[in-house]
Amino acid sequence: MQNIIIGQYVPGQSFIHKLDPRAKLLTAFLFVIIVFLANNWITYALFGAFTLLAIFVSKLPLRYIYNGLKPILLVIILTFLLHVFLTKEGPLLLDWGFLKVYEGGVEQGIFISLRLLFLIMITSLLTLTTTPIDITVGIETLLGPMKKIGLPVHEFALMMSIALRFIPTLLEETEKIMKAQSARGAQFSSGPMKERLKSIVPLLVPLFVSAFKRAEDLAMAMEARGYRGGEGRTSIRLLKWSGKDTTLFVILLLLCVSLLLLRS
Amino acid sequence: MDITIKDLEHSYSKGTPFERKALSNINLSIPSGTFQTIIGHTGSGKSTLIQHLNGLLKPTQGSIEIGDFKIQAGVKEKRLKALRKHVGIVFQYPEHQLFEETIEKDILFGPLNFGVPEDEAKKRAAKLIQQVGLDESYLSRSPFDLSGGQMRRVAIAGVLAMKPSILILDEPTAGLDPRGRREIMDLFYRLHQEEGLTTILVTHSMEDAARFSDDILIMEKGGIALQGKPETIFSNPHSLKKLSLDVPETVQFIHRLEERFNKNLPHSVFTLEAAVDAALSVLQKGEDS
Amino acid sequence: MEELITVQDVSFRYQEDQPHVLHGVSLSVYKGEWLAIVGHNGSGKSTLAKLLNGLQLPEKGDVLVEGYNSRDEESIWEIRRRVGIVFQNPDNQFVGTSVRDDVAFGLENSGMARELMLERINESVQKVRMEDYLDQEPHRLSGGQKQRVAIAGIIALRPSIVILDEATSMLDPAGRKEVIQTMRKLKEEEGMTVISITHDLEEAAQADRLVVMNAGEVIDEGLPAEVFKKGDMLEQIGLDLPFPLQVQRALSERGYDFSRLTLSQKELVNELWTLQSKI
Repeated sequence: MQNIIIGQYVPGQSFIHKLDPRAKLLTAFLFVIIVFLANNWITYALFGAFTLLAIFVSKLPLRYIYNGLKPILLVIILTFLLHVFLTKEGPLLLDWGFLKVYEGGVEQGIFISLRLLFLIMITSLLTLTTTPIDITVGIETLLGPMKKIGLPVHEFALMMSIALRFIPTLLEETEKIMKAQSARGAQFSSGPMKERLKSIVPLLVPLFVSAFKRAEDLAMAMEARGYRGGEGRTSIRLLKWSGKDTTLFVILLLLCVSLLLLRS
Repeated sequence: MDITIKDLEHSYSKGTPFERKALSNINLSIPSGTFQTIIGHTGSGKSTLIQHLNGLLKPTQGSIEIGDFKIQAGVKEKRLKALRKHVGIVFQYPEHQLFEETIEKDILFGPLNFGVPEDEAKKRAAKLIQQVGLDESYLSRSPFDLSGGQMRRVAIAGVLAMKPSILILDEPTAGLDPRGRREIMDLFYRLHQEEGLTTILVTHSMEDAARFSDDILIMEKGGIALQGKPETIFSNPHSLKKLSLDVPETVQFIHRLEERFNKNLPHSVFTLEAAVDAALSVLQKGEDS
Repeated sequence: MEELITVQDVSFRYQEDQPHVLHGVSLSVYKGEWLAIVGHNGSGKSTLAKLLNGLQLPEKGDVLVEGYNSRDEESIWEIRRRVGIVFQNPDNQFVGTSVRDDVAFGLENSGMARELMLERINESVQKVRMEDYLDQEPHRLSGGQKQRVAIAGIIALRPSIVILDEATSMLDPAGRKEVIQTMRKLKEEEGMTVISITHDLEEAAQADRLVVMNAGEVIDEGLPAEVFKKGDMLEQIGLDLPFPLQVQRALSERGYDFSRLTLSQKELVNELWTLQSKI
């Protein structure tokens, strides 16, 4: 329990790691939009090049990228097959009587799958190279202006950071309570399903009780340390927009322009 | 049930980059009916060791024999539940394990899990609630309406209700005030004597270690640093100081008296009365001369 | 001596249909002293701590901190800035995701400029000797270290008073020593006023002054040597006398007369030596 990694963050010192979280968040967001601009082989190749370059620069082991893809690989394959069999455009390639595959379908299938693949790679790259707390601070700053229209941005960010802070504590607690109840004969990992389900209550009740107690204590400690909402509060965490971040946006802009020129 | 531990080793997160050896080269035997105390700094491996005694942790090397149960590295023990019936653990802050609507139900949780008939379990609960210093009217109340100290007593009753023959206590008095501490330790010692329980106490209190133990085990960095009877362990304060551990106040007092009065005094002095007698002896010897 | 906190005839209960937790409590805290408030669990001593920095308000009577009355809404923030509390559970008061973030929390609340915050953080982590752990996450720290971080977070705000609300009761002996030594240093070097709420009379014996609480009332107050004369009373309310006093009391019962109360073993052995040479 000493080595829990929260989120997916993999520590590193690469160009991507050092980017301002706001730059990364904005890039990921823009990427999601402009990926829809691609509509032919050359524009998809461009996206592919951008994504692979980003992964290469991040110096992350490919294993992590693959781990991020694994859970949705099936979705991608399904999307591919649906498009292959349901799009009836261009010359006929295969004809099994009830199933007909057209060239347009294959192309469509590949494009859509690639689009999904790129999206997931870029967003996992964001979470793999940015600590959860930096993502939180980034979101808080980016959404800062929304405070004016009454969006509880500060409260949301504080909630996130407290959640991050307490995840390891609560995991440790869960382990402790599981052990204590196991010692009293509860079965969590073996035995009939019915027994295992029954053992959830002796685990959850103490966890809730303790989480509430912690929340109460924490609220009091925060109040004692002068907390009174986001108004007039300053922050120790400083986000620095540097040359790197501007570079990223120049690249992104170039990508956009090329896309507009090259799409058919 | 005798306990025999051979060449025990335990590594956390074995086979990952985070692998950390928590115990190594532990050889220990605890004869049935012993009061065994385990002392050591936080992180010395005490908690890891005791969790092996009822199969909550499995050895990565070596073996543990408890009665005719045997837990061995790499071998799956099928009778873990049966073993756990015999080995009760009172964890640190045991009040955190309470979950039932009523105190009685919570005390029954262990015994019923281990197949004790309900009426027998209820009889035990009624007896135990008194033994831990609350009266029977508490049985129908919610454990969450009690004070921290009372909750601790209920949790302890819940472990005792399993009628274990080995009772493991992981800092059972942490956070209690002096009176609560004394009452709880007296209860455990009485049970140890009356029911012949093998008792394994993990503690930071040298006073408790000196007063109750048949044998003391001092752990450091996952290994055994010292082991022996209280009088042996505490007769050499220097070896304890080297481990940054304290000596019981009574022992400190005797050593100070010996130094100041330049006299030899008995060393196995662990109670207030004995310390007072020692003081009297130096004063009275003064009168003689 | 300058009086920093004045508690005047304060009564308090958590809810109207519940019994009072404090009845007519009055006491003073003076600048630069180490005041120990002792009592068993449930004697009202922790509730008193919460009244001292405005986390709870008295039902009757007043709490004044450097002239600010906790009843005035405007004063509350002044009071909280002046009185910091280290609570019992090291985990439940650690707000930040790292040591730096946590020490910063109170400063951020006060709206301090970032540059000044960094200065204050560095200064205060050094005082509690946690400067090597600034980027460490809380679950990798020991209990004693977490409590030292809590102290750093408080002293960064330059308060006049630090309250230790059973801050050592969940720690192992090593952690307990760390915390007490840190506070002692702060008191001696910085002139910090310390209120330590505890049931550990060994620790209380080292205090400048003692307040004894039982069932929501102050039942005694004075220098440790004075209060410890009433050993039977302390034991009756569930506290344990320090070992040297217990030995001394047993010897007095057998007719030995001591010239003074011995709070440490060293003093006791010296007294015994004097007694023996008189005989």
